[in-house]
Amino acid sequence: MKDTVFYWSAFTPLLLLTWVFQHIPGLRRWWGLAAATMLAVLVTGVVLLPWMPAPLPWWSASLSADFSIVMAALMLIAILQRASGCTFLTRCEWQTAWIFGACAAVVLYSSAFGVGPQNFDAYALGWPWLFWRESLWLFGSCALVAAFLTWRGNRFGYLLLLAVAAHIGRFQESENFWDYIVDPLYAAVSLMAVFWILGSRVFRRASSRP
Amino acid sequence: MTSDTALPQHHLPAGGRLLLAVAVMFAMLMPWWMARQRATQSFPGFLIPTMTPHEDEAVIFEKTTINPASTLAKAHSATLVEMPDGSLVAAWYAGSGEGAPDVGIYVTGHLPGGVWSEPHLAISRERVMHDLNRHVLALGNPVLVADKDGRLGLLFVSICAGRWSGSSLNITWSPDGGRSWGAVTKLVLNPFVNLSALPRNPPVTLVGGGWAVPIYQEFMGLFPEVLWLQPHDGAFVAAVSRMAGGMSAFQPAIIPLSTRRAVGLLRDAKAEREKMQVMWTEDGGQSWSVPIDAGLPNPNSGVCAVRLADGRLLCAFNDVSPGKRENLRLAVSRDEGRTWQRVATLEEQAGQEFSYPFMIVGKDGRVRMVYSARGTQIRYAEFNLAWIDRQELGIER
Repeated sequence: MKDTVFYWSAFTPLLLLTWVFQHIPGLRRWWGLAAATMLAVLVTGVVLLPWMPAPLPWWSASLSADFSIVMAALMLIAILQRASGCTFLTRCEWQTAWIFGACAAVVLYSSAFGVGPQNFDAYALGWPWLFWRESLWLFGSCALVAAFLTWRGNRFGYLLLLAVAAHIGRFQESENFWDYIVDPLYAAVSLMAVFWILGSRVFRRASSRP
Repeated sequence: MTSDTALPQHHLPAGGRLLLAVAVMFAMLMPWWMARQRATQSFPGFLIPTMTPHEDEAVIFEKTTINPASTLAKAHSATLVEMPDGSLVAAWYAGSGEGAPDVGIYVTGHLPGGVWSEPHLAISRERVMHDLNRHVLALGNPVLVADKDGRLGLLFVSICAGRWSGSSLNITWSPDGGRSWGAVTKLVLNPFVNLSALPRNPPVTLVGGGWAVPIYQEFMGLFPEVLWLQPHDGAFVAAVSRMAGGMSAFQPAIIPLSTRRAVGLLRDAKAEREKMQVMWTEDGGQSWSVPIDAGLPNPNSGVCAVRLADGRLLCAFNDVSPGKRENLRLAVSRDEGRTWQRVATLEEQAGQEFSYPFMIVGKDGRVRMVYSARGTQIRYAEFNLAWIDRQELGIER
């Protein structure tokens, strides 16, 4: 196991923990940039210190060493936005992230659980050397989405580009491209966010009727 | 996600934005384009092994227990491989119980004309935890592969949570026929936190090297898959393709008929059906027909099959019995798995369990087989075509 993979497995859970702490009522005023830097130092210590014989990444890697690049980037951005007060991604860009995550989740996980055409497994498209022609659907779709978003000035497209760069550099334990763009956590959050967005729109439309 | 200060959006002219978008699109397609060279290796076809059975060979049948001195409460899921020099290596998992923390992978060897060596613990849970740098609950389901240079590969699962559905696949290599093993590496084969990918049956060698290893999922559904292990830059790359979806047919055995054609036999977990399932591929394992009943019973137990030197298929399976796995029988098919005829009973005893047959055919055309007996023993059986013919004619039935 490469060291990068080892520490990466703890990165997203720690980001999630940080995000949760940021949203505890009453703690908001402590979340300036200086506090975020101190937290980063603290987190590094926590990662390296042993927790019940082994350091934290040892435990988190047991469950998954492949949290997606997109999810980790989104979480980091959310934390930095809250800490700094800057908008790195606009509301529209966040919505794009949720819609992309929800679409990827539906396509990937439905077939991963054996649903759909008997010979079709969307996950196999993430290994371009196995299904080279067929995998163009995955890589082509992501390329078109990223290009369109870039053209529209939507910065979520750059996160997809980041995922591709990580895939080329074999940053994660997995060789499958899907694992760089989506993971179960991102899928769950995206699906909930999309339902929330759609639900609130339906509710608004219904309540605006005379 | 709202905040106080918005970062400025880039204000490129339309032409600049278009150029940037095109550049992003090409960058996104890079991994796909870079894979084109490796893609020439995908689905290369099955290698049909050359077998040279001795003419007019006398009837040969031998059966022995290969872990007679074992005091462990559980030994199961044995695997067997023939090395380039004709020697055999077998492996299985054993410990105080299925899924117990003390379960390890045991290995033993057999020189041509010799006896089985004393089994030794090849891979322990502690070793796997050390190599993978993560927590592991238990080990299981080993499957051996051997390349033409004599390098031995061991695939096995490690459970990270729950039972078998919480397992993932690992691989390690031995340069000296199983005496020592290199670092264990995890294979990421499933998008849902890499849960559930288990091997059980013999791998099929591919044209140009590498293997098609039949594996299965049992996390949310129960369905068969093929793990493609192919050589690349001195190492191996792994990918998985689906044989069928669903909730009941799993633990596939793949029997190649030609370079592009193969039969798949499947264990059946559907309680109201309990029939072995069969499917075929015509394109080197890329796509498979819908599984249908093979005409043999299957009380939710492992099956294995091989192609004999004369073209017949031989299947080892648990037949109908009051208990679930109280016998182990052999059946032969002369029509590529469409119909089967029972030919012999290898084991039968009420109240006992004989299961998980694992068969290979040696270069000499003899069938070699390992299976679990009584929960604690691993048995080895070896027989030739003359013995099968005798059984088929009913001479010794």
